[in-house]
Amino acid sequence: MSKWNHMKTIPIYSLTDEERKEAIKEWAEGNEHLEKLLWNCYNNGIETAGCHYGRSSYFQIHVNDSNDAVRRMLYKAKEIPKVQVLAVMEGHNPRSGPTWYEPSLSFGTFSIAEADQDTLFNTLNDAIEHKDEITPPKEDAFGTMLDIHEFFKNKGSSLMFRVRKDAEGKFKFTTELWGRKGIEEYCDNLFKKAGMKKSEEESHLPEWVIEADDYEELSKKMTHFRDVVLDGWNLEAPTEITDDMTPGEKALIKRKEYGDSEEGQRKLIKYYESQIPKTPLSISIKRRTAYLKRRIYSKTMRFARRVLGLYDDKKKVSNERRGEER
Amino acid sequence: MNEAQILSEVYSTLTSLGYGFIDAIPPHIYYYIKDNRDKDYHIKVDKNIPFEEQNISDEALSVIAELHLRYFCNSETEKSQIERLLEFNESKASEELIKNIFKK
Repeated sequence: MSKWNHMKTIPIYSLTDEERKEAIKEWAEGNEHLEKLLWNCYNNGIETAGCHYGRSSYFQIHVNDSNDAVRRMLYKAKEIPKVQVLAVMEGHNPRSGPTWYEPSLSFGTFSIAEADQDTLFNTLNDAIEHKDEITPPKEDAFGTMLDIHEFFKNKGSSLMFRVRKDAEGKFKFTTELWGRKGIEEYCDNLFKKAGMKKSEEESHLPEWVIEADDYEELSKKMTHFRDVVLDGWNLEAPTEITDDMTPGEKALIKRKEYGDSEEGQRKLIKYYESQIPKTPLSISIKRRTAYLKRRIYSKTMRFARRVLGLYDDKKKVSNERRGEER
Repeated sequence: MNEAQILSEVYSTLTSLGYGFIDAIPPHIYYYIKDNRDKDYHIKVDKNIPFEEQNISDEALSVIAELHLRYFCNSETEKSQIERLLEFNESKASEELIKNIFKK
C-alpha cells in the first residue's frame, strides 16, 4: 500500500502543498478527470472524503458550507449512467480515519464501462465549474438527498439513504437502518406514511423502498417523503451506551468522552475493537488468516479484485473496449 | 460458478460476520456486492466455525481475502502475515504446476 492510498481517509487540508500534489495524483489512480475533480473540490472548499476509480467508481464528500455546489452536483447526477447517490448519516468505523464520524454524500456508478466512469467525474466537474448556468429546480429528486442529509446529520439515526438508477432508466430510493434496532417500528410507521414500503428483497438490515419509472415520478415521491419525514421525525441522538448498539454506535457516543486528539482516537479504536463480537475471525492473527491456507494466490486474488470492481492494472484497463458491459 | 453466485457467498459471509466487518467496507463496495449477487443462490455461513471448514468456494474466499487485506486488518503484522501466506500459496501452486507438466 502507498503513502496516500491506504484505505484510511487523510484530511486534505492537513497536507503541505507538495504532499497535496502527491496525494491527489495517487488518489486519482491514473484517471485525469478524477484528478481534476479532486482539485476542483479543493479549490472550491468542498471537502472530499474518499474516492475510487475502477469498475463502479465513486466519489465521496463531506457537506459543509459548499451547499450550492453540492446541490448542483446532485442536480446533474441524473445524467450519470447507472448512478447511485448515498447519504451516509453517521460513520461506523473509527479505523477508517480521523473524520470517520462525519456524515457524507457519495456519488457513484454501477456501470462497468470505462467511459461511464469518466462521465461520473466529468459530470461532477461540470457542476462545480458552471455555477451560473445551472439552476436546480425546487422539486428535484437528488436535491432532496441534501435536505435529508442536512436534517439527519446529528440525529444519530443510523439510517443510510440511497437513490439509484438502473440501466432501463428506472429509479429506486431506499433507506436502511444500520443500527438502533429499537427504532425499527418507529421508522416503519413513519416511512410508510411517507410513501415507502418495506423491501421484499432479502436483506440482513431493515430496508424500505420507493420505486419510480422516471425522474419526474421519483422527484414527486421523494419530495413527499422529505416533507413527511422531516416534519414527523422527533427522535434525538442517543447519549447513553446500551447493549443492543452496534460497535460503531457505541464508538460515536464514546468519542465525546475521548475527544479527537491522536491519543483519543487511539483509545477509541481500541474501544471499538473490544466491542466487535468475538468470532474465529476476530481472535488471533493466526486464526484470522487460517482460511488463506486454501487455494488462494495471485491468480485468484486478481479475479477477486475484478469481481469487486477494483482495477488491478491500469494498462489492462485502457485495453478494455469502451462501452463494454457485463 | 458465476460472479453473481460468488458475490452471493461473499454477502452471506459478510452478513454472518456482522458489524465490525460490514461497516469496515466502503458503502459503495458493500452495495456493489449486495446488488450484484445472485438473490436465488444462498449458502449458510456460521461465523463461529472457521471458514476453511465450511462450504465456501475458493473464489468467494479470495474476495474475502481481498477485503481482509484492504479493510479488516488490525495491524501491519496481520497484513504481512496475509501477504506471506499468499506468497506461500503461490509457490505451492507453481510446484504443483511443474509436477503436473512432468507427469505428462
